[in-house]
Amino acid sequence: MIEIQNVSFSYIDWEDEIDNEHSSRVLHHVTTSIMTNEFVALLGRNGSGKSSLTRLLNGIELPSEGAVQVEAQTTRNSHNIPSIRRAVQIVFQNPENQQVGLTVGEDIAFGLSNIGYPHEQIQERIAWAIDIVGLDADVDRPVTRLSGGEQQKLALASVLALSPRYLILDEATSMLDPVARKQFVQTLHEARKKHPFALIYITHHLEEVLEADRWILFRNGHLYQEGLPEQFLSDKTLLQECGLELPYLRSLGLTLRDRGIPVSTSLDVEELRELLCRFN
Amino acid sequence: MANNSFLLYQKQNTWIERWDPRMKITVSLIFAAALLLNHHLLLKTAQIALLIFLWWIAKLSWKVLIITILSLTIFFISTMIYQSMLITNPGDTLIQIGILEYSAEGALNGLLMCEQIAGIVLLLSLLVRTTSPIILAEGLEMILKPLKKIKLPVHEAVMMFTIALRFLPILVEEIDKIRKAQIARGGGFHRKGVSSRWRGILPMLMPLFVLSILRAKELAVAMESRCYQGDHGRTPIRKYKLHPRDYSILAFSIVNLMLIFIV
Repeated sequence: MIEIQNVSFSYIDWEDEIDNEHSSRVLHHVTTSIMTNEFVALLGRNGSGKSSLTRLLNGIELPSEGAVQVEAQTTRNSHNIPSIRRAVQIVFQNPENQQVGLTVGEDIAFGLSNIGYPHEQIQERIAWAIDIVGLDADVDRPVTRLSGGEQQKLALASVLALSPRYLILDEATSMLDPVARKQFVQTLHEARKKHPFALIYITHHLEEVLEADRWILFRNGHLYQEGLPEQFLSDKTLLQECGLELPYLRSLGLTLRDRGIPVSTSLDVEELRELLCRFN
Repeated sequence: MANNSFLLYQKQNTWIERWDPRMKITVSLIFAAALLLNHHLLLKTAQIALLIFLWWIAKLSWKVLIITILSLTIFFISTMIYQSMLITNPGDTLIQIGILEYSAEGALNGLLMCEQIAGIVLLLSLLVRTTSPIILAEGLEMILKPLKKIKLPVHEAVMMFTIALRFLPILVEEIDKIRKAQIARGGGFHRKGVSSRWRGILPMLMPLFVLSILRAKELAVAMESRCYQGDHGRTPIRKYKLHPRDYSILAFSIVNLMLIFIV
C-alpha cells in the first residue's frame, strides 16, 4: 500500500522569497492511500498537482510537509529509495524523453542492469517484456525506427521488465493518435491481467478510466473529491470545475435522460442504435 | 519519427563485427601507429590495400569508400602543394605541374602523406562502421576501467556519450522543425547570401538550447525512476569474452607494426 499523509509540496522558486511558503506550492495537505492492485485515476486540470504527486510516490521529489510511505517505507530515508523505485515505476508522457538505449533491447536492459538483474537472465527478460506488451519489433531494432505507439509500448515494456507493484502512467497516451491510444490501453490492461499491479493513471481522457476502482479529483493542488467513477459521471458541473469533459456517449446519455428518454447511464453505441431505430 | 541515418554503423553480421570491441580499439591504435611511423611506400600501400580488403570483408559499400576517399581530395592537394614547397631540389626535378616542381623526394613524401591521411580515415571509418556505438563505448569503458581507481568518471563519460548518440537524431529533427517554423514566420534562413543565412541560424540556437535542457531534465527524471544510480550495483548488459580470433588479429597487428622497423 502507498500512504500519502498530509503531503504538501512546493518547487523551489529562486525568484520568490524563501519565507514565502505559499509562493510556488503545488500540493496542499493531500491525504490518501493506494491499495495493492487498485486502479486509481488522478484527474484534474494541468497544473493541479497530479504529476507532482506521482513524483513524490517514487522518491524523485520529497514532500515539503507530510510523508509518503510505500509499503511502510518512507521516501524520506534515502536507504529506502532503491526498493521504493523498484516497486513504483512511471511511464511518462513523451516516450522519446525516457529512452536511454539505441535499440529496443538496450532500452529494456537499462533498468534491468540498474537493479543488478542477473546477466544470464537479461536477454530472457527482454524477450518476456517485448512479448507482454505485444511489441512487434526485435531487440536490435533502433528505437528511432519505432512509431509513437510502439515507442510508448517500449516504455511500458521497459518498466514492466522491472516487475513494479505500482505503475504510474503520467498522461502516457496524450501523444498518441486515437488508434494507438486504444491499443496501448488494451495492452496495459492485458498485461495487468497476466501480472497484477496497482495502476495509478493520470489522463484527461475519461473514457480510459471508466473501469477504474476510484477517481481522485484534484483542483488547485488540493485533493478535491475522491470516490467511485459512477459518483462523478452524472455530475457535469463538478467535472467541469476540475477541467474534465465527459466522454461523448456518456454526455449524450445524460442529456437524453434529462429530457425524459429512458437510456442507461452507461449508454453505448449499440444502445444508441437501438434507440434511434425505435424512434425511427 | 527521427531517422538515424547519421549513425555510420549498420548491422551486417559480418566476421569483423564479431571481433571483441576492446581488441578492435587496441588493434586500431596499433594499426594507426604503424601507418604513422611507416615511411616505406610499398609497405604503406600494402597497409592501405589491407584496409580495403577488410572493407570488402565487412561488406561495406564501395560507393561509400569512393566518397570517403574523394572527400579527402582537398587534403591530398594541399599536402602535395605543401610538399612541393617544402622539399626543393633544383637539380632533381622529377615532375613539373605548372609552377609546382617536385623532386623525387618531395613527390615520395607527398604520396606517403596522402596515403597516411587516407589510411587513418579508412581505419576510423572501418572501426565505426563495423561496431555499434554502444558496443564501442562499452569497449572503451572496459579499456579505461583502471582509471576508475583514481576516481576518474569513466562510466559517467561513457553514459553521456551514449545518451548524446541517442539524442542526436532527435536534435537534428528539432533543428529542422525550428528552421521551418522560422521560415514560416519570415526568418532569414532561406534567403540567399552567407550573412542572411548566418543571421537566420542565430534565432534557432536559443529554442534549441531550451528544448535540449528540458529534454535532459525529463530524461534525468526517467533514468532515476528506472533505478539508475551511476555505476553502483549495475550488471553488464553484455559480457565480452576474448576468442582465439581476437588474439590472432592482435598478433597480426603487432607483426604489422614490427615490419616497419625491419623493412
